[in-house]
Amino acid sequence: MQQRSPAQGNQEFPPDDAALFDRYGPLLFAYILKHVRSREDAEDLTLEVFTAALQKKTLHQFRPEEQLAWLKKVTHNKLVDRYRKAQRRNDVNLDIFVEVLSDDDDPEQVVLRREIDHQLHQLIQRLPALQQQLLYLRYAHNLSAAEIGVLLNKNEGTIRQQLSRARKLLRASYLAQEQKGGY
Amino acid sequence: MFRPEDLLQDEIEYPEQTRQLQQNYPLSQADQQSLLRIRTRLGGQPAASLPPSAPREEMQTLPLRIPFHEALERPLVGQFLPSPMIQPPG
Repeated sequence: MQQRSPAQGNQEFPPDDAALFDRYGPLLFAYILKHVRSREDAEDLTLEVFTAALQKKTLHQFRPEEQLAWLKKVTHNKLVDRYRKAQRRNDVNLDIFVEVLSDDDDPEQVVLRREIDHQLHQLIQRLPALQQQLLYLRYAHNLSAAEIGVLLNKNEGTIRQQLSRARKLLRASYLAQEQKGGY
Repeated sequence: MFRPEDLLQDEIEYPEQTRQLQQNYPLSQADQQSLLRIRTRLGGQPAASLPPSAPREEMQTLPLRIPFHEALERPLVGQFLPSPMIQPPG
């Protein structure tokens, strides 16, 4: 999830703003991409969201989950605004499981990891949708339970419980597969 | 990755599962490039020269009725309140 920072050293892009984008940019971009017609539209809309964030000088004083709640509201409002203007919607499929391999990987490790990822991917897909969503938010975007709670309108304790349950279910599924000789 | 206080007990007990899960969601190259472009555009202009986000977000009062993780649907007719009319002075 860590992005290279092309703007590092750019005095126009304060570190706090860059950190905010690096923290929540991938998540919001993925969300927006699901709801607009094209990648270009998603880039434009994400830029608008973070432009608004940069203009809100007090945002950095918020706790992380409050920052995310604010960004969520802005994102939602901008999407709704766009729907109202466009009066049409074309879905863009988002494959969050697209594999990216670095060039310097050992080929054997690549094959092994690809196999492991495939198994894990399949097991995750068998989980209930909510648990898949929790795992995605937690491990793709490294969100805290409180931040996930903001997104899913649940309290932190509930999120922690459900995440633990999802992990246990995943382990149980993995063990069951192993015992059946599936993996 | 996570702050110690954010860790679940289960994550502490099974760190290998956590590592595998984190590796399970790589960012696609297309997404990485998109984020890089957004970041460059965001950082490349002084805040004052950025186009104003109109209308101001603070002025929006639409409730978040749609959960973040669910697909947004096209708004139904009449779902949104009409824009407030500007009353003529007098």
